[in-house]
Amino acid sequence: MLNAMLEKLSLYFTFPFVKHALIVGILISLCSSLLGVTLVLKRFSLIGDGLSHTAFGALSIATVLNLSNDMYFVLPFTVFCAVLLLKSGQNTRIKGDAAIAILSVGALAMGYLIMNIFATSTNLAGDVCTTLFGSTSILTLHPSEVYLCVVLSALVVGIFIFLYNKIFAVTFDENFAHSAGLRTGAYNLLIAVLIAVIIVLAMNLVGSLLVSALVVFPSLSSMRVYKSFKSVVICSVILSVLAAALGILIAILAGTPVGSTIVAVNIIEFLLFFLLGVLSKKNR
Amino acid sequence: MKRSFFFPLLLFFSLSLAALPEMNGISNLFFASYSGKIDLDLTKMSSTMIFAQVFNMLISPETFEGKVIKMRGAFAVYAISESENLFAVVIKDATECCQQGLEFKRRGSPRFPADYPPVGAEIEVTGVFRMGKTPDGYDYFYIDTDNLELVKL
Repeated sequence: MLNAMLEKLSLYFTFPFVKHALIVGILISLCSSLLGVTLVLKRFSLIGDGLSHTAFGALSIATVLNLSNDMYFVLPFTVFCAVLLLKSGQNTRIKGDAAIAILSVGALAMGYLIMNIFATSTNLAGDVCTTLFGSTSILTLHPSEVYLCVVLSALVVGIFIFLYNKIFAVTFDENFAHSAGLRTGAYNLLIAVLIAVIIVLAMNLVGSLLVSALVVFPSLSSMRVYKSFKSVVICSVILSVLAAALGILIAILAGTPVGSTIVAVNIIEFLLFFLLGVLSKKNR
Repeated sequence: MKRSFFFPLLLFFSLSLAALPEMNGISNLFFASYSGKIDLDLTKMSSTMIFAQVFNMLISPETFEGKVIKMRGAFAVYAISESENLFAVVIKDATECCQQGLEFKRRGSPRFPADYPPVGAEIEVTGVFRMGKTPDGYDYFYIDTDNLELVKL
């Protein structure tokens, strides 16, 4: 059985789109887990959900406008909404989770409505389904999307490593960081932009509805066992990359939808680390 | 008298039951299997891989032109005009919400519906992937085949 699986895998790896999917999947999971820790600690776990639904709305507009590469519209639009949510969220009448809920549900409904009224495809249900659940979208990437993903991921990882100390300070105690002279507003803005970029990229991997899982699960799993920021980030990256790679391989071997398979592997990891956390507490 | 009618009638009903598929126009006489070299066998892949592969064939058809392809899926018919139909083998993705289809053209002059399986039946098509141009100048792709097998009704 193992031989048959390996034989099948070696056959599948002769197709360039499988290699592309694995590269993009690993890069996206790496980026999402890096910033996932910051988002979970800042209690912005659901922002991924809100932004991915916004991106779905933007994608439907781009589809209706027949843009050659929808990324050029979806990315700036999502970045704008992320800035709106994170920057002005505390100073407006509609705050925090309510603002996310309004943006999320509104964008989702408007997106579906626009796609229905101005349908450009004969398979509308299919287009919506693959965008929301990412059943095969990671396996149907255009080479230009792969290059864009590599460049954007390198940018996100580079910025995170370069500004690690500042992001750490803003994550843990924003007021203290501000009083210590750090431009917290600018760093919050940067975090918002990075999150939007990751969300747009991650939509290809797991679909709009499952993006939050990529951001939340690896961080929460590693927090069950590790306590320092650095070790949580490193463990989170390893878990996330492992889940993405395993999820893609299982999906192509078993014929399951890619997005939900990756999330299922993330859930298993979380349960394992939850048990590990309980056991290590008992042993102390 | 009764006995002399009973046995021929019994024989007639037995033969009719055995020949039922032919009466529905799904006789295997119309279908043949392929025994030559296959460049791309989609029947050996998982549903997720087949869906992705067919999608990639549609966006970069020049890579696959002239290759012998074997695929399995649901038989579909689309009416182009009153006298002309388009025949396709359709594959669904893992969530069964999206589907990709490839047109196939059988050699000779088979008649529809007599020489084709029922719509929705699972079929296996083996043939050469070819590109063509519509009268309006649009590219289209199809499998040029005389190997159509009925897998399941």
